[in-house]
Amino acid sequence: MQPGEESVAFRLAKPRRAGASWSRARGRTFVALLAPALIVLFIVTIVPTVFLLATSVTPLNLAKLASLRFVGMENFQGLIDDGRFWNSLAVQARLSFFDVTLQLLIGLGLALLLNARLRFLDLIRSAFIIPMVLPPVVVALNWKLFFTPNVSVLNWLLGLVHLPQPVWLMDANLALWAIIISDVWEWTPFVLLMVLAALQMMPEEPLEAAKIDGASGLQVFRYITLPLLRPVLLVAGLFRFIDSVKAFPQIYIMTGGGPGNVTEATNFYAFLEGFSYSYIGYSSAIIVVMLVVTFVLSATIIRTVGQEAEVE
Amino acid sequence: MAKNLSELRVSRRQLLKGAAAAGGVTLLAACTSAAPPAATQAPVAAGAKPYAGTTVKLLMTQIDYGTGLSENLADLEQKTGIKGQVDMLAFQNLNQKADLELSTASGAYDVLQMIYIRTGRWIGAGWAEPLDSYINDPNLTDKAQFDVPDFVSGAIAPFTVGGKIYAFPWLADCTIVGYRKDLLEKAGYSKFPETFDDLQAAAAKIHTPDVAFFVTQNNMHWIYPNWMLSYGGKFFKNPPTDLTPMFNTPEAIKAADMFTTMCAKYGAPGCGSLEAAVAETIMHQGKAAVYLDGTGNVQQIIDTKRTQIADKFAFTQTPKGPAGHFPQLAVHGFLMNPAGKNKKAAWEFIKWAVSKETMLKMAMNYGHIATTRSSVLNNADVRKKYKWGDSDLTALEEGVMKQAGEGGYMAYRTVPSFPPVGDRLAQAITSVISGQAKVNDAMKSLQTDVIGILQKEGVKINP
Repeated sequence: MQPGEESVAFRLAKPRRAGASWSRARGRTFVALLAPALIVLFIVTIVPTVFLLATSVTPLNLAKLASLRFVGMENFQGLIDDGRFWNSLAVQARLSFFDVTLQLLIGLGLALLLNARLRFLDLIRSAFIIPMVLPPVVVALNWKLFFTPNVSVLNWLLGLVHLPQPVWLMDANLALWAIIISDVWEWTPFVLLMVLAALQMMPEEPLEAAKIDGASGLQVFRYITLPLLRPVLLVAGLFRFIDSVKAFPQIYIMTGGGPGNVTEATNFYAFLEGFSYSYIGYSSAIIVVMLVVTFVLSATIIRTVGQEAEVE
Repeated sequence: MAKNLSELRVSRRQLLKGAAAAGGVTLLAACTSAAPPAATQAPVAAGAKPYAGTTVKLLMTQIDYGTGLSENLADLEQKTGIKGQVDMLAFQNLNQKADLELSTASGAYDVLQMIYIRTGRWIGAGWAEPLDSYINDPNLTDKAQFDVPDFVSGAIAPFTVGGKIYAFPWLADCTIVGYRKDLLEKAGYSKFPETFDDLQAAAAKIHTPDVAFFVTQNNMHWIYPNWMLSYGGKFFKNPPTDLTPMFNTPEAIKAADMFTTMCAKYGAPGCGSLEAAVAETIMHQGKAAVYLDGTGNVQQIIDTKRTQIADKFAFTQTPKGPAGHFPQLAVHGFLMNPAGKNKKAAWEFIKWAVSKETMLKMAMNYGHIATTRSSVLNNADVRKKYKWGDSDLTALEEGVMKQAGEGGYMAYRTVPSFPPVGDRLAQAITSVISGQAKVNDAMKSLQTDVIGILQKEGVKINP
C-alpha cells in the first residue's frame, strides 16, 4: 500500500467512523430515553403476565399456601369439565356480540344524523360525551336503580303508559339485556365520536361525483360512505370488543352474576374463583384461556375486516 | 416473627372441634347476669393516653352498629388517644375485600369484622390474631371490667378454637319474621302461621299484585336454610366431620320447592335479588306483608323515621316444618389483623367496640337488638325499648340464640368450605326463582357442583 493511498483511505474512513459513532450515540440516547418507559411497561405488563402463567399451573390457594406446587395442565383440564366455565364463555359471547353490534349500529346512526355543521348540534354532541366520562361504577349504580322494582323510575314511567313493568335484574331473559343496555348507553358515544370524526374528514369529491352520477342517498352510503368508514368502524369495534370482555363493574354491581348464572361472564367467574374463594391458581387458568381467546378473536377480526377494507 | 406465625397455625382437628363447638355450645349465659353495664375500658389510667396519635382502622359491613361506632369515635379518642376510623362496605363487598386484605397481609386495617361463614377459613389460615395474650395481660386488660363471661356463650363459641379466642362478637343475627298484623287479621289469621305449609296457604289468600305476601333479602344461603332444615334437609351429612353434600335429598328438594314458590309466586317483584335495604323499603311502603330475615334487618321495619305504618307491624319467630323449628343464627365479631402495625392499640379499639358501655349505647340509640352481651340483653331499658305491641324482640333474639346454640344445627355454616358452597347454593335457588331451571334439576346440579368444590378444597367425601 502506498503512503498516499493510506492517507486517502484514512481520509475516507474518518467521516464513516464519525458517522458510526454518531449513530451509536444516537442509539444510546434513544435507549436511555426509552428505558424508563420500557422498564415501567415491563413491570406492569410482562411481569404480571409471567406471574399469571406461572400461577395457572399451580393450585395456589391463598388460604392454603402450603399447597403451592407445580401441577402442569391440571387446572386447564379442570376447566374442560367445568360447566360453569363453559356457561361463562357463552354469557361472554352473547354479551360481547350484542354489546358491540348495538354500539356500532347506534353509534354509526347517530354520527350520520349529527354530521352537519350546525351550532346546536355541537351542544348535542357535547351532551353525548357525558355517559362516556362517567366512572363505570357510577353508571352501574344508576342503572341498578333504574332496574330495581319499587324504586325504579323506568318502571314507574312504563306503568304510566300501562306497559308491563318487568323485574329486569331477576328475570333470566332480561338480566343480561339490562347489563347490555347500561353498557351500550355508556359506550355508544365512543363509537359516535370516532365515526363522526371520520365523517367530517371524509373527502367531498367522491360523494359529489356519485350524486352527479345520480346515485341515491342509500347508494352513496352503501358504496362510498360505508367503505370509507370501514377502517374506523374496525378500530372502534375492536376497542369495544376488548372492553366488552372487561365488562366487570356492571355485572358486579347490578346482578352479581345472577339470577342463577345468566350474567356470569368469564371475567366475573374468574374473579369469584380468585377473590371470593381464594383459588388463585384456577382463576389464573381461566384468565389465561380468556386472554388467548381474546387475542385470537382480535387477530381474526383485524385480518378479516382489514383485508376486506384493503380490497375495497 | 416465625414463632408468632407458627403460633397462629391451628390443626385441622382443633378447627373441626371449634366449628362443632360453634353449633353445640349452649346459651344459658344469655339468661344470667342482668348487672347494669359499667365502663369497660382497659387499665389505661385516667388522663393517660399512651396511644395518642395512633390511628386504628376498622373494616366492617354497612350496619347501624358501624354508624354508631363511627359517631362515637370521639369517646375512644378521649379515653385512649386513639384516632379511630370505621370503613363500612355492603356485606357482599366486605366478604371479598376482607378476604383479600387478610390473605395478602397488607396490614391496611388493624381490626376487621370476623364474618361468621369465614370463621373456620380465616382462623385455619392464621388470618386472625389469638387474643388470649391480650386478655390475660393485666397491663392491657382489666378482666373484671371487660367481663368475657358476659358474652353469650353461643356467640363467642365460633371464635374460640383450640381453647384460644380469635375474635369478640358484636352481632348475633337471628332469623325472625316481621309482618303486617292488619293484613293477616283481615284474612282471618288471629296469629301468624306456625308452619311453612300454613305460611304458603296464607300467602295464597293474602298475596295481591299490589301488596305481595313475602319479601326477603338476596343472601339466599342465609334465608333458604330456614326452610331447608325445617323440612329435614341438610347442607352436609354431619358437619364438620362428614361434609358429604346433601342437596339432592327429597327433603332438600321439597324445601327448595316451597321456598322458591314463596319467592317466585308470592314474593315482591325481584324477590331473591333484593338487597336488605330495598326489602325494608318495600315493607316501609306497605307493599309486602311478611319479611323474613335477621333481627338486625327485620327490626328496621318499625323505624318511624322511614315509615308511617310502623304500628301495623308485629314480630314473631320463623315458622316450623315437618322436621322441627330451625331459625338461623349468624354471629359476627371483631378480629385483630395479624399483619396490623398497632396491635396493642387495635386491642384497645376492640375492647371499646365490644364493651358493655358501647354495646348498650348501640342497643339504646342505634337499633342494635342483635347484641351479644347478656347484660345488655337483660337490661331493663333495652327490654322495654324492644317491646313493640305484643311482640318482644329481645325475647325472640334470646330464644333463637338459645335454640341455635343448643341445637348444634348451625355447624354447617362455619366449615372452611362453606363460602363457595353457599354461593353455589344461592345460584341454584335464584335459577329456580327466575324460572331458568326446575327445582329438581337445579338441586341435582348443585349436588354435583358442590362435590367438585369440596374436592377442589381437598375435602374427602363419600358421595
